[in-house]
Amino acid sequence: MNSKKVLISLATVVAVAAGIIGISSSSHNNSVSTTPVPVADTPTISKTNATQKYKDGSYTATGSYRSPGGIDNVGVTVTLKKDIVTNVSITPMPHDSTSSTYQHLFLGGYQSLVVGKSIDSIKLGAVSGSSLTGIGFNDAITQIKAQARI
Amino acid sequence: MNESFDFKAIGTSWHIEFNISESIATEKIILLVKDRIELFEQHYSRFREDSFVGRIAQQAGVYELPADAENMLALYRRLYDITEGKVTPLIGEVLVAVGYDKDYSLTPQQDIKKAPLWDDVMSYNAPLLTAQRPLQLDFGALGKGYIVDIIAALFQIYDIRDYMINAGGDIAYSTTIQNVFSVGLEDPADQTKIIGVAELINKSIAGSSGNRRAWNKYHHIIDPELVESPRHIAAVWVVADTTLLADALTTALFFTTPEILKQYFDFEHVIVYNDRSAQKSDNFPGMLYS
Repeated sequence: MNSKKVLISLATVVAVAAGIIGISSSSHNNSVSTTPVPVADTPTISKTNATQKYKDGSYTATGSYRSPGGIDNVGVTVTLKKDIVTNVSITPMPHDSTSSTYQHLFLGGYQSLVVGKSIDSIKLGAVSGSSLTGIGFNDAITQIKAQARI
Repeated sequence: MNESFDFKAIGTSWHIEFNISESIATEKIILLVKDRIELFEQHYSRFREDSFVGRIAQQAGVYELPADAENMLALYRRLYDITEGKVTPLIGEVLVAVGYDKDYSLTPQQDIKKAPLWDDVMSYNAPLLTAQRPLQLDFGALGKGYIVDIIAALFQIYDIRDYMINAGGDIAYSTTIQNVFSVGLEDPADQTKIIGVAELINKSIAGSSGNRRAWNKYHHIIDPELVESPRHIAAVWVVADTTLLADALTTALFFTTPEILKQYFDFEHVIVYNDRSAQKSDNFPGMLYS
């Protein structure tokens, strides 16, 4: 597949894309309870300020996603500078697989909190969720955040 | 079903199963499927300068669109009106502005403008689309579902009546023997889990997971007016007669209520909110775990 010629479902990627752009913002719940403590041997980075959360540099991670044919991977390389993404490249690594009426409709329609069950616990023909490629990308980005965190 | 094949196209993984037909060889139908998807992309990809969408982005004018554009644009217009402009193909300009462009620049422009209003910049009377200025359209809210339906129609032509077409979780399922097809509803917080199951018989399903790991203003659905993504919903699934409708309604449910949409369309749905409370329509074919 030509990774640049992606028509539609990359929407999820935008999501993440836009998300990474926002890494520097203090937006939301990815602050782990541990307060980052400056470490003596942290490489000196020009003008690292107290609020920088990620080390400058290029990071690569492989995200995997479950496709109907098995597990597929996508490689993501991100270059960070002062918590801003300055470059991103994406490398798909596909494997060859063989492989009612309106009035009363919603009464009682609310359910208490849903819980997740293992995907393997039931025989399924397919799984539907967020766009698969996007999932792989998201996973890679999560790994990159972990790698890059100061 | 005794035949199956996998491939990647339009940015997602496809898995297709069908019962072999006497009227066409399996190899031939696989070629036809891939060619048809390629044609769809040639026509409507935002990332191809020579596609209709690419050309309209470059120049104002009157464009005669392929016949299959009408189903998409007609449904977009209905949803545009119902959601007061929130579901719109004109979101393309916003997507590009936040960095979702063909080079994956992922670099937001300084000044992100809201999407233009349909009647200010565009009119459509099939097959003619008139663009008052260059317009960046995007059919992402329903395009994937629609191409699944187009492939389903292709199967029907060749008398293939038992099939399952899955494009990254948007699924059309047809059975002549009333076999149930079970589709796991992926946990929006953990892809190794499911929070329920849909059981399909001659229906389509589409899903959209909204805030999955989006940690700034954007995920894949963006409010054209606020220029930020709705955050209250974690995941949505819609079961309907066509994948086009199912796909489109998953986006619409981020912007309006199922009660309102139910006045116009026949569908069943599951919505999982950010607090993991869930709403399942009474006749949704399937169950949730709680």
